[in-house]
Amino acid sequence: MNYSIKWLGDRMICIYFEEKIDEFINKKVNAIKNRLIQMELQGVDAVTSTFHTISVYYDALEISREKLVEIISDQCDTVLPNQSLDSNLLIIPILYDGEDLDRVATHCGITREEVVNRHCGTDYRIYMLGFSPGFPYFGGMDPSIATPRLKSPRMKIKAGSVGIADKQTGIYPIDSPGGWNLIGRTPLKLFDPLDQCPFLLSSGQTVRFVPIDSIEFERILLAGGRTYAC
Amino acid sequence: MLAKIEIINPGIQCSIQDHGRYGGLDYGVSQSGVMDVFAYDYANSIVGNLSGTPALEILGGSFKALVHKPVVICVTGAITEMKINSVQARLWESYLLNRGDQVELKSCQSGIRNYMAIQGTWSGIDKFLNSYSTDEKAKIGGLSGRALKRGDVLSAIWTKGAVKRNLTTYVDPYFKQLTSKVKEVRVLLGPQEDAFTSIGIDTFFNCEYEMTTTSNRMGLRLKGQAVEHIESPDILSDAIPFGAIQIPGDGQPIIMMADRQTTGGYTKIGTVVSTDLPVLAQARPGDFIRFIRIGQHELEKIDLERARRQNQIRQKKDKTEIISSKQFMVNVKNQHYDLLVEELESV
Repeated sequence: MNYSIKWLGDRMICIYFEEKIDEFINKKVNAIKNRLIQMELQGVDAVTSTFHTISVYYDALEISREKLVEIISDQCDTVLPNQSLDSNLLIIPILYDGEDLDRVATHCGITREEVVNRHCGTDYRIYMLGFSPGFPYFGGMDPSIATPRLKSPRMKIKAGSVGIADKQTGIYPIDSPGGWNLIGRTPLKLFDPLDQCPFLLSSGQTVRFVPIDSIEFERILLAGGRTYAC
Repeated sequence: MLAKIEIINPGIQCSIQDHGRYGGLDYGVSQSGVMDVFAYDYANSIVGNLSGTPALEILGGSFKALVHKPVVICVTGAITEMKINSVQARLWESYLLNRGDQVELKSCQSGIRNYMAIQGTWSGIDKFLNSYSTDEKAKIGGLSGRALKRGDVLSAIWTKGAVKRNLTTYVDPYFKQLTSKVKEVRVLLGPQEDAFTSIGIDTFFNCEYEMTTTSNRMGLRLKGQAVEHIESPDILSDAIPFGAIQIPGDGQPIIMMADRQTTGGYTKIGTVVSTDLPVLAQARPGDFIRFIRIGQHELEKIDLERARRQNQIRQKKDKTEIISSKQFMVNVKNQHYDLLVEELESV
């Protein structure tokens, strides 16, 4: 698989694979990232990933650029996509009562129930987290429920809201403004800074949405909103 | 010994920051941390703190605090009139303040951010993913993840005796740029240099860009001659380092700073080198930014500059260490006094 290595200023080096949303590329990216994190290299402050890139925050006063390139190239050439340790399936319960559910149904020319069926009828891969703490970029949504963003974004969307924006679906981990079509909400806390594990999701994970009713929603919420077993 | 200081006026924005948070970058948590690491590191060094001790970042002056228990402070950064009990005081110098003393910053004359270091180990503030930096958006770090307000009290446990120390030479290029209306910063091209026309890249390096009022800790929004894309300003999202320069569809550069989002989908024409970021942190609306192109082979020169700075900041030659100090409480004619007696090292 082809890649290129680029310097972003004096404190970051990036590995770029082909610029597309592709499960195979993303698996390789995650596998390389995890390996680089495990190596605990002196002078490396952080290793992060997106759909098709890996970024290494480093300090050249502690690790030379030559050595970094050598290590990174070595990993890119030897690590295989199936070495990514991301097979665990996570169930996310969703109460499908979003205020834009009708808008999505009308736009797609189907019923509300059918929107829900199609939204939870497939497994999703988390390609990356970004934008805000714990925000997942899911891949795999049924394109038939794609709906354009709202013309004017809402000032505040509550944490846990599940939305659709064009061909993407996502969950807001913290209260924030946004223009996504809201179709439901999860009682799970995607980001909880007071918890031992502040992030519920990580890149490479597979996620399945399961519809729940409002009683179940309240029950999970009361139980702390950190786990769900069905 | 316990130090205690109360915020009387936080100014426009005052928050607790340190070197930033790296542990959440892969999970979408911003780096945060100080905008001007040069002034911040110096402030801590001058009060005798370990590098990385939290400090106050104060935007735009107009700050006032009242001391409740003796505290050693140092203010650095923007050129700002500073007063201790209405008497002129100096930046880049440590002061021992006693109960009832007031420290005040007037408006900034040059630059826009001041750093106040407080000697000792801070207590009562939040640490998240190994950093005390305040991230107001995620509500983490600092004091309950928010900017400081009137009435907030900061405490620190003194780890050593007070120090009397100041910066003696102002030779670092930082000081010259601080007072300059045009800030020159060095930029390494990329990673999306191929998204721009050669005219676009020439425009970027030959024109001056004015900083606008919509700039903040997330990014500096500039305006000037538009940088021309070949086709699209959008990319598949990738990581954004501190100092990356995004060019969205309107061709107007945005320099991504401490509170930037971790990833983004706009083309990045280049990245400002880390040693020039403190200069940008002090730019104010109406100032101009000029981008100087450097090559990859010059990165080592930048490393050397950074190493030299770090060494200078660590050096403690021009200090007067306090060997011992004792606190007394005295009553004279029913009037209560806190006294601090210090044994100074001879210089």
